[in-house]
Amino acid sequence: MGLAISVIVSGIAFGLLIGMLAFILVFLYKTTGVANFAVGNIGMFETFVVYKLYTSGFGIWQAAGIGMLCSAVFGVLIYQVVLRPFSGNQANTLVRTVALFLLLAAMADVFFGEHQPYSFPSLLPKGGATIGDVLIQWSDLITVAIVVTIVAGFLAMFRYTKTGLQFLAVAQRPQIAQLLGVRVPRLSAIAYLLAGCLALLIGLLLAPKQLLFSQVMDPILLYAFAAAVVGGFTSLGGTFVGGIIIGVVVDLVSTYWGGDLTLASALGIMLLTLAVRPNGLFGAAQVARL
Amino acid sequence: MLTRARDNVGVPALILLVLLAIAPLFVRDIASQGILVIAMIYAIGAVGLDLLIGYSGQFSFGQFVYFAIGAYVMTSIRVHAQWPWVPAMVAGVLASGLVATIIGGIFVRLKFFGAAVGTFFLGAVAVDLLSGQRLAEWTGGSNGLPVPSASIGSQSLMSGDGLYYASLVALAMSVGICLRYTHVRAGKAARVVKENEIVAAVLGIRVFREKVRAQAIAGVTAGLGGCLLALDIGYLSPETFGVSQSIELFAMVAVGGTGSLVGAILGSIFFFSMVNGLAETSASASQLLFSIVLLLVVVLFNRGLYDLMEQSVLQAWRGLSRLLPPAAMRLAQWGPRHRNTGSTEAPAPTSSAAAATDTLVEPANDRALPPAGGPLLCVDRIGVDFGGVKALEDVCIDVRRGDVHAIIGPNGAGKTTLLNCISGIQPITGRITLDGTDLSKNSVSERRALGISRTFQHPSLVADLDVLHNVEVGAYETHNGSVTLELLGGPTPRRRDRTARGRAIAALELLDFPRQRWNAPAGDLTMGEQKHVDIARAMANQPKLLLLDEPTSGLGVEEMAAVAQAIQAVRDAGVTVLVIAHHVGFIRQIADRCTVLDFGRVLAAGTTGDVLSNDRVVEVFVGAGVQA
Repeated sequence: MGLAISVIVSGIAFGLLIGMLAFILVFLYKTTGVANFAVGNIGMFETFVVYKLYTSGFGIWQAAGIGMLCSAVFGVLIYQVVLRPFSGNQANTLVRTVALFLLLAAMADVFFGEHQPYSFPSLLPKGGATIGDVLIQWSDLITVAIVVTIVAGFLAMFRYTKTGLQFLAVAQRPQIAQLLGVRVPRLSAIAYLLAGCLALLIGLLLAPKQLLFSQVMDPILLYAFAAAVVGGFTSLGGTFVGGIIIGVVVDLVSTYWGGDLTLASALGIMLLTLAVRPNGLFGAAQVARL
Repeated sequence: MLTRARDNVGVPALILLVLLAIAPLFVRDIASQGILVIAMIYAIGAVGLDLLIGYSGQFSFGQFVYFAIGAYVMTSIRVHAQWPWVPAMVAGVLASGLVATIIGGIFVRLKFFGAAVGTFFLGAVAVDLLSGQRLAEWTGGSNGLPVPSASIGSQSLMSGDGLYYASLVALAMSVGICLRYTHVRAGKAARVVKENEIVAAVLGIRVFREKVRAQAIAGVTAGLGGCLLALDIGYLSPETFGVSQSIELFAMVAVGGTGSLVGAILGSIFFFSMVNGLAETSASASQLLFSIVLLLVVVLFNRGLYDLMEQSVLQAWRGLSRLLPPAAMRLAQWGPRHRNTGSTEAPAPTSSAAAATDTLVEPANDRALPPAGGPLLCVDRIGVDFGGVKALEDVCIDVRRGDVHAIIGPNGAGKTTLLNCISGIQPITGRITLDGTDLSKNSVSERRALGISRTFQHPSLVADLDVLHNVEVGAYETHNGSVTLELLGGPTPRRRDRTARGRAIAALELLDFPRQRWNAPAGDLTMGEQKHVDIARAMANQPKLLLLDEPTSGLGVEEMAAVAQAIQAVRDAGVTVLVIAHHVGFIRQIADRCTVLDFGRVLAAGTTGDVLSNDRVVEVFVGAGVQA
């Protein structure tokens, strides 16, 4: 019993990180209209950059700080150089994100990957506390705290700042928002800036546990998709609920039935959700005019 | 990105296959031949994937799973049950086709994006299952599985010429199946589904079924590719069938140009030439170059390699025909015809339209009385509620047999919603009866079978099919039947095709659509012509009731006259017409009776003359305070 609860607790922490990646996915989807297959690998690549800085002599916190600045720029660069020029229809943009997915993996392999996987130093304290027979890791608790803070920050931005309001407008009705004077390309650039930083954060929190190699984010991306579907692809809040569900299930399955069923169980949950509640737990039905 | 699917790729495909057949004479070194072999093997499945994406409009980022199934089933059966390689290969191909049908059946229910994500997932799950313990007894787990040898006589199929020509034959088979599919009814129906699923449903096409069929064919070709891949590499391990291979397969199709079949082969050759060309530096460097090139192609040349090649061949041909003397010029007429040149220009509709306006001067009310009998269509107090907005409320309309009945009203009055209710797309409260039959339990295709046809505000013709084929798709009484029989050319499908063609020709002739335009691709038609063809497509089903949704919007005066003439012809053929229109002059010309809708309610109904002189109607259209 104690094991199960410990697994659930760490599953929640893991799930919140998945939820954050799902949040990036849905956030970018709502502001730019396209689901970006490359978000996981953006985080992976930025984490590699931090690792490179660290092995070149910077302390881990300095490396992380510099990395965060670089990630902000990197995010904007990706939007301006890869996604914005000649942007046509949705299918084309989707394929560009897939190409970016491949490109980032290849870049990581070529520039950083000679001796991967690498062991990545943890920014969070090790060890944990035991309550009864339940083991709770400090890193998990702090992860939960970080994610909650970030969510609160986003909620505050949406509620109290002009930019946040513009984001909400674009997410609901992009053309009308544009007609009302919202500069959508500028907003998209900001969205990608935030996405770049958040992706690095996820990478920094995951890499210590998973080792750092170019495919590290592939399963996480899939879990994030499943979480977004479960939460409802139009709901920003739902992504975290979906993430927790997926994270807990995956950890339980991995502990009790073996690691090879983790992806299958996430896929199963996603398909089940689509069959029973096609719009997810919190999503709204999409209606089109014939 | 989702470019037009092409119909005329048979000859280029043949040329490419012949070039590949004679290539070993010029390409002597083993390494380069090896590149061609692996390129052809991937192309076997890439062609099927192009069918799925370019012709049927679906996405799959996990297609390599079916390669894996083909390879593992064939090898496993040979290792454990000692079958000879031919039946084992057949088993592998059938297994992947079967799984593709099942999985495809699940994924096609998801919207386009859900299918993209789901198939991506699938690829990852498959790798897990292959390398895991659960299936290790059959798959060898992470240790892998050695492939037993296969040969014809003394010629081994796993290396050298044997492997090369085995791959080429398999590729030819794959291309053959896919080409054949695009030419039979199922392939054309799939393209209508790609264009617009609702229009397809209204034409009687079984949307779900056609999508799954495309999945099955793509799965079968991938399975065949997997079997050949097993022969090529000689040893199966889970890494060979990973997620990145699925993405690379997709990339090959994208780079080659979707919707061309040949493009997929070109993309595959391109990819492997580049990757192996840089194998000396490092595997990941060539991956890097490939992804950069892919990105450049998708951003800058998003029509793909095949389109690039087609353009250059056409430029060369045109340049050549300019240099040659006139006699040879006539020969040049037989050459490749780009769809925008040649004799398929749109003639100005002036002459026929002038005649039309003369004959339509007499008001419709002076015609002979319509045939006796109760109203053909009874709309009885129907309502449509969009969560608070009442699109239609308490609407009653009686459409008399043989009438042209117009529905008019301001924008947002509920006119298109009314047609959606009658054709069965929109659920309602209330009752609609056709010829005494209550339609509430009838689906969209059942209503079509009962004799209701409709057109849409936006015609949704398949842009890359010509006019005749577009109308033919609407001419099938049913779209049921086995696709295998269709592919094989059985007598029943052929008879059905002949009937459909006959009805299509009859419809086009009834509507007086100029014969020289019958072979023009629908994408090249003017808006007026497209609407004309849309009406022909609806008439090809020989309906009792024809619903026309704004056939005149966006048209000039001459084109409108042509539509008016078409509607006359339809009525003279005994079909009842319910038409939505905005142009009052047009209504006066063709409509016997009129119903005015405003904010979802019936404002006035009666003969055209009465309704159009009704004060309230004039007020709604023109505004209050109009002096008489």
